[in-house]
Amino acid sequence: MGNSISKTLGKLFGSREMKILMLGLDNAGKTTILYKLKLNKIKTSTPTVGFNVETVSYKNVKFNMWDVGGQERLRPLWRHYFPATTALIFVIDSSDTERLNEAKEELYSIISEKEMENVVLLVWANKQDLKNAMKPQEISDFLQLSENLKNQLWCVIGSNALSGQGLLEGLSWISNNTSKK
Amino acid sequence: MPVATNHEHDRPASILVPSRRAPPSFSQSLDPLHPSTKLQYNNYLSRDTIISNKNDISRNSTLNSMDTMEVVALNNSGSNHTSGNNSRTKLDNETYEIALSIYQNKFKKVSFKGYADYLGQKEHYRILCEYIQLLKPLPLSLASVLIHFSNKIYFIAEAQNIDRILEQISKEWIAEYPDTLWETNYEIVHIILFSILILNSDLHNEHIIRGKKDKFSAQTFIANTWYAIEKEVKTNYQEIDLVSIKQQADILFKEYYDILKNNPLPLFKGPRRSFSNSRRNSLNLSRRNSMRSMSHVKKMSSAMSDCDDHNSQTSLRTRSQSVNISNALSRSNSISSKKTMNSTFSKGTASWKYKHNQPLPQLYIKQSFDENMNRMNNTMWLMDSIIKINEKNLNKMTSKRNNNNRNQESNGNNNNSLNIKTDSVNLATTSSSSSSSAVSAVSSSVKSHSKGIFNWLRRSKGKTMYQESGKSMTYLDSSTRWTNARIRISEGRIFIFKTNNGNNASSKSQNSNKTRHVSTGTAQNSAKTPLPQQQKSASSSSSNNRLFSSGSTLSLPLTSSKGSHTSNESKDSVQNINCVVLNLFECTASVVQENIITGNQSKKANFTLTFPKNLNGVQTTLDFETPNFQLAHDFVECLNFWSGRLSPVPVEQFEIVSNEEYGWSSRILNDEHTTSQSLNNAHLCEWKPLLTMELFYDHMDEIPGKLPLQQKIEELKIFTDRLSKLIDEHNDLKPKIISIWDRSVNFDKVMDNWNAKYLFLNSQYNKRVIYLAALEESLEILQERDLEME
Repeated sequence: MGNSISKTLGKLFGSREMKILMLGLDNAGKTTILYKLKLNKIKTSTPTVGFNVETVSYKNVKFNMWDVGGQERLRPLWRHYFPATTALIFVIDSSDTERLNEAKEELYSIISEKEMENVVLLVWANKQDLKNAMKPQEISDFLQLSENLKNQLWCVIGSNALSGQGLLEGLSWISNNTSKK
Repeated sequence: MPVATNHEHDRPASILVPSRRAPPSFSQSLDPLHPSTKLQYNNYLSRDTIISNKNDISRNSTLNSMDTMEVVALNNSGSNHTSGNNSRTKLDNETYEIALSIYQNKFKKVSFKGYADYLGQKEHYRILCEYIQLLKPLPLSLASVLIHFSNKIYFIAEAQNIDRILEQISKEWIAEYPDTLWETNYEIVHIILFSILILNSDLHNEHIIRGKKDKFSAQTFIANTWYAIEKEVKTNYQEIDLVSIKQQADILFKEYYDILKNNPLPLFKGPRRSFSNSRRNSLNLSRRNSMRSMSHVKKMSSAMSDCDDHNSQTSLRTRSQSVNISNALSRSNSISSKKTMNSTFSKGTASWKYKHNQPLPQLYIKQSFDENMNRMNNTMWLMDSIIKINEKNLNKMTSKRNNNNRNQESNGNNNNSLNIKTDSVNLATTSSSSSSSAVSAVSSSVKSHSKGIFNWLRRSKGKTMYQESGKSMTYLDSSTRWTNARIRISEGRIFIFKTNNGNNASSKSQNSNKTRHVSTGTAQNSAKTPLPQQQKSASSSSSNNRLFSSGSTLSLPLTSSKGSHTSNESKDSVQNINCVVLNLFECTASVVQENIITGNQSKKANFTLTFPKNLNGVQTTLDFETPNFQLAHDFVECLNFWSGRLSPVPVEQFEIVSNEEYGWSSRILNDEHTTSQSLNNAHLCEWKPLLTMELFYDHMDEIPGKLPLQQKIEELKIFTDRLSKLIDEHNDLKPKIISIWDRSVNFDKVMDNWNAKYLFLNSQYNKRVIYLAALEESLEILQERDLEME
């Protein structure tokens, strides 16, 4: 049944598919976000051993999200997927100020890969529900995105993965800004 | 135990393998490459796995019989605890117990599906180490290692956790097979294992959208893996001659690829599962493959095939022993989100009756004063009377089925009068029970969405979904037919009941005086109900409850009615739907006559209720007519009060930081030297508000931003202040924007952006101001009431 739905949707709207890589330090909330977004997923299939990969259907756009993590030495393995990537989502735990620097390094090590030149970057400043959470503006200042990113379009959105606040805003931002490709 | 012993042991280990680059986390710990350690490990572990049921005694005795130094070494690997010997052993025993219980699928803290994530967490490193010891001996083929592992554990986890697990496995594998192509470079093995796992996802995960890319071919897989290995060797100066082993390695990788291509890694289905053929096959496979691939290794351990054989036997036994159903049920908080998802989806397939016997979810935080106020008619808390509704609205909702994806609830009961009379009884029960089971109600939302989509697809032929939009001007249109309906606004919802005479009502309101204020409160209302009927309603409650107890859409009963027990809900009987329930998220109500003054000196008043746009951009507006202005005003107050109380404040939208250019970034506004050329070439984005949660309020499993009344008011105050400042700032930009962009071809684009944002800010501001006013007034009412009570 899931297939027929997506086919009909495709006919009605002309569907778009995009590949999104999701990154972030552990405990930033990636999995919670994935599960939250699953809400509108169009098909449930048998799970596959290994990584969390989710397809989220949102309006006429299908988002394919990979949880790509791991240390430096594994990064070259993900490179295979970089050229096909339309957007990179980076999730930050806004309340974990101690690891912000680590997060920043992680972000830049990926975004400065040559294959990442044309992606749009969405930063979810997650865990906004926590009292000591940094605001999106503070996060963006810390990451120095405006100074360092010349090619990519970027955006920082405050989010709360538990309630889902900010998630749709983020996806629609990506959808708004990738339509021409 | 003196710390010195510990050091004594550490030193020889690091001397033995001087070329190895030890990561910081590993340097203090026991090196698994130490030959004597490995021996000891294997020794006591194989014994332990076999007699695992008596592990308490056996383990202790094993430890005791060991050489003291070795015990310390074992206990200290990877742990920073340097306290006394006793506590250390105790701590270690606990670690071991956990590892063992995970291995046997008896660990109760998390569900078996969370085991891999649990093991992969940084703080569970020690447990991970112990667990991997239990997996030993590891097969020689790296593909088989993964098959072996995923046979044992539900192996879907976060990438970082997978990373840590595989790193540890690769260390142990190297310890077991130090003489392969990879020598002692566990880093390379780590990369290969990870690469195989990516391959598995790539080949077999249906979710993956590839775009122009195809699935991994053998060549790309080999190239990708090799690329990562080369990079690793280069950056970390590993002492390994890659060129000489390239050919052999390629053959090995090709073999891994072929195995994975035809056999996805088996997904462990959890305890209490009889062995399917596929599992047995994969076990066999792991054995076969490990034997096959031995030829590609420089030297091989002859004991290998024996070990593997023995290992799979042990695993067979452990698995059949460890049967524990509560395992599958108990889950930790860390994966509770998974649980809700699963349970909601499973409920989606539950029977219709089951779903509809659930009470309505509570949409707000119920406070002490609500208890009383919810029962007082003609207040901001409750409005319940028979007024007129635009017949088109009513027909659209009741006969055209679900037209806007909102939560609608319907009942196909033919007996209208029974419906209305018993309604207050039912409401009373649902409202009292809903507070206790707010969570259950939420569950119906997810499937209502999927069904909603499906239903909507079937229904929509061409333009229908675009037809109804914008505000109607029905009150000015003399052809509008008004029909009587009982409208009840309570606890964040609007209930619209079709009345008996609804079908033949005309635009003349000759019976308005008769029907106005049928009930002045639920208590009275139910008192009016003849007793026999009430009993009847109780006895037939299963059908009546559906009316109120469902959180699902109207489409649900209708689409699922094929051959179901609800016979009168087939297409022919759509006319019989006589109740619609909608939630009031992000709605606004207004009295028409406050805005539009006509020469017509009619006493009648109108009010409209506007719902936010849904996913398809369709906005629904309901039109009502009341016999006088006051009643319309009361309804509007009540509607706005509840909308304001339910709707979360959308702060996210206003805190976004981005480098998108709409025409008013400081870069452009403050740069004195912008040329018309650069302005013409500027890459402008189109400003549009981001879609927010409000689109999904009908489908969500939990409502965000629930706040008590007073806090909500505070939040709204701050928010409206901020919005009004934003609007001022935005206004201030306008002259400057015009002066800059005036000479550019992009002028229209920028002005469109400016307008779009202005309209958005304004609409948000107006809506929140209305909410704020309604909520503040409700607070005053409460305070007055308190004074009276005193």
